[in-house]
Amino acid sequence: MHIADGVLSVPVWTGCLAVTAAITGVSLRKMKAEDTPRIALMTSAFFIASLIHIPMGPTSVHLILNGLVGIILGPLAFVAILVGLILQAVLFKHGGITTIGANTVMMGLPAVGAYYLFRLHRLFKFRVSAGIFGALAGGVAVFLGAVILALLLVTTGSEFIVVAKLAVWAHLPVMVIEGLIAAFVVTFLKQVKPEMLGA
Amino acid sequence: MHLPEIDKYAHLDSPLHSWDPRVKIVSLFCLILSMVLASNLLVAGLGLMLAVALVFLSRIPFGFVFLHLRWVMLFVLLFFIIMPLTVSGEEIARFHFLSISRRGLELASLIGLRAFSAVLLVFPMIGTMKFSSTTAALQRLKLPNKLVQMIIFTYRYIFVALDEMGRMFMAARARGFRSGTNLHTLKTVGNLIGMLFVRSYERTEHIHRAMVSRGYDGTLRVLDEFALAKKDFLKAALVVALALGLYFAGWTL
Amino acid sequence: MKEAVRIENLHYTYPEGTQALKGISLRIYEGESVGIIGPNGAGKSTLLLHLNGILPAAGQGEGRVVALGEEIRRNDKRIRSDIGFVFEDPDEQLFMPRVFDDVAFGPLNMGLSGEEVKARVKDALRAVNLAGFEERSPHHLSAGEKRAAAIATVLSMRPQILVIDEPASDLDPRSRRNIIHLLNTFRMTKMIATHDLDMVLEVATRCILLDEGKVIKDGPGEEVLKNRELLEAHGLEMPLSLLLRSQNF
Ligand SMILES: Nc1ncnc2c1ncn2[C@@H]1O[C@H](COP(=O)(O)OP(=O)(O)OP(=O)(O)O)[C@@H](O)[C@H]1O
Ligand SMILES: [Mg+2]
Repeated sequence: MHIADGVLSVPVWTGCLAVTAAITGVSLRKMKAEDTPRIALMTSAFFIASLIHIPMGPTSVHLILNGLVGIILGPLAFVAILVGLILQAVLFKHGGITTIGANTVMMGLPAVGAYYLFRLHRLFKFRVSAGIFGALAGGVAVFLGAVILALLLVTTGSEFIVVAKLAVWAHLPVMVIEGLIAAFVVTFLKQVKPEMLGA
Repeated sequence: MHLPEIDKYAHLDSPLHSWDPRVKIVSLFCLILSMVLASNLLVAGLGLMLAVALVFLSRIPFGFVFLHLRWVMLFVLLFFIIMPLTVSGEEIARFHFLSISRRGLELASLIGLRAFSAVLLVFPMIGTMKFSSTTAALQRLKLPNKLVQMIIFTYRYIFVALDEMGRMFMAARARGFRSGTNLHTLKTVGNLIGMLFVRSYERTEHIHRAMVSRGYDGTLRVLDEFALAKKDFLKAALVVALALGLYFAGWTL
Repeated sequence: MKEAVRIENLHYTYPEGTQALKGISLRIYEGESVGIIGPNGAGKSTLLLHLNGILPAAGQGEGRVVALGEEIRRNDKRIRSDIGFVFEDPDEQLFMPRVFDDVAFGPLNMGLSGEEVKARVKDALRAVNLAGFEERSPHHLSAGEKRAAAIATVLSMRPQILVIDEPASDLDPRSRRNIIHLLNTFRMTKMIATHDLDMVLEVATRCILLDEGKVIKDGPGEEVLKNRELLEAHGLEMPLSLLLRSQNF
């Protein structure tokens, strides 16, 4: 789910760019010097992981992972996603130049949401709570992303209503896959490196 | 898996290659803007021709460019399939119960032309210099230092992570892993991704250490290797004039 | 002889609780080339990291490290351009997308002028036989070239002490030979931690055997490396070249 150049109306993409710039500005100010290499390295790992294709019946989907980015990086996930999207646009021509802001809003805001959702797992003491909340966070992040995508399209023009609806529907299976992947990754990290989950 | 190298053709020689990176980025960004703002098919068509001409001028092989258009094509295709069928307007053709509307077709074409022009311009803009020049230019253009640093380090370690991922998948396959539509695949992939994250996480401390021991204090310093010449501004004037021309053509045509 | 490094009764325990160093005292003199050997987990890397003051501050430690007349504290953020540190994995030393920027990283942080930085990059790359590699990307270098480039990144700071952790792990014989040759061309004080005892024999004038965080033996290279029982008691093997010589081949 990346929006290419040339679809969104000017107020929509410039608005998203402004939101992205504002959040990025605040995040960068909050970042400590040693955060820079840390966020960058994790971003490259996410970048590579999102190239993995998961077979789905006759086709395959590639992973989005914005929920996991949020779970692991917290609010700084927004900047990580911005950087990842810039590189995806430049390297793969996936996404767009003027739509960097829109794509970052679409994937970054849900990522930050996923972080807060995932944190709730600490309220529960049972053994698999991290996995369950990981699944929730991973799935919800994709769903919210699809909803924002739909909203951006519909705000651009009523001609896009069908495309927008379709986009949301198309993301439902992806949501399930992302939720499961997030659950497995979180369970793995919980065992191997719990401090990565902010333990 | 293979990563496309954006600066594979940075060594060529063309008017775009010799252009000052900062001025090039700003000027071509203006041109991209004018493409995205194209308000009718004629202007958007002119824009696409201009974009193709600039790719031609950059000497970047069209084969290489073409390979990178997959995502845009998929994206545009989606609109081409849906919009003509769903946007209401004058009917220009009908197959059984499907009616094709002129407005939908026009809108999809406009989106397609704009999207392709913008994407094509990324090649003359970024593909005509080493990626390190791009990031140095972004830094000179006053993008926040930390953001530029993150772009630089992320770019560098993408290649390391790719090798790591490749090795891990190979090891998994050697132990009989075959991916399919099932829970086992998701679990295996989840573990491999988790492993990749752990490795990257552990590496950060080492890298930070290597940086600090060479005097890193949180700010990245780069050498100012750029020198502006009159030619750079001439090229900029030409490109910006074209951008403005396209933009105002949209009002009158 | 002038003293380059003095380590007094150094202890260090990692935050997780591993006691890595248990009372190390050493003096290293200018111009010496010291090989530091010992089995996995002996504390070699931990010891070297003290020369840079970059260990986790959360760890427990005591003792003193004085290098070039100045005391070094843990998490000391000052630029130590006179101590060049080459880490074990070149992929962690080469963090920029272009060799030039990596070699220029230290000099730029030292605040040197553009001309000076360029001259130093050129010299450093020439010193490791990588002249002309400025524009290359690290991920396009061979393991041996990466190693050499990693060394160049600290040579450009013109250090008086060169500290290298595992300079030749995973290199083929020719690349390893090149690195040995390189190390022998450098005149500054050197501290080299390695499992490659044959290399120690060729590049080091002095050899320190560590195990379980303590200095077990400290003496001229050949003397330590000839002591077969001692080496084997600490999980090491006598260098092949000495073994062959001792058996009169
Ligand atoms: N970052 C760390 N956190 C916790 N413990 C550590 C860390 N680094 C090393 N240790 C522990 O400290 C001890 C000494 O490790 P060190 O890396 O100094 O040994 P070494 O002699 O360099 O070993 P090798 O030959 O394997 O490189 C080991 O028991 C190791 O497990
Ligand atoms: Mg070690």
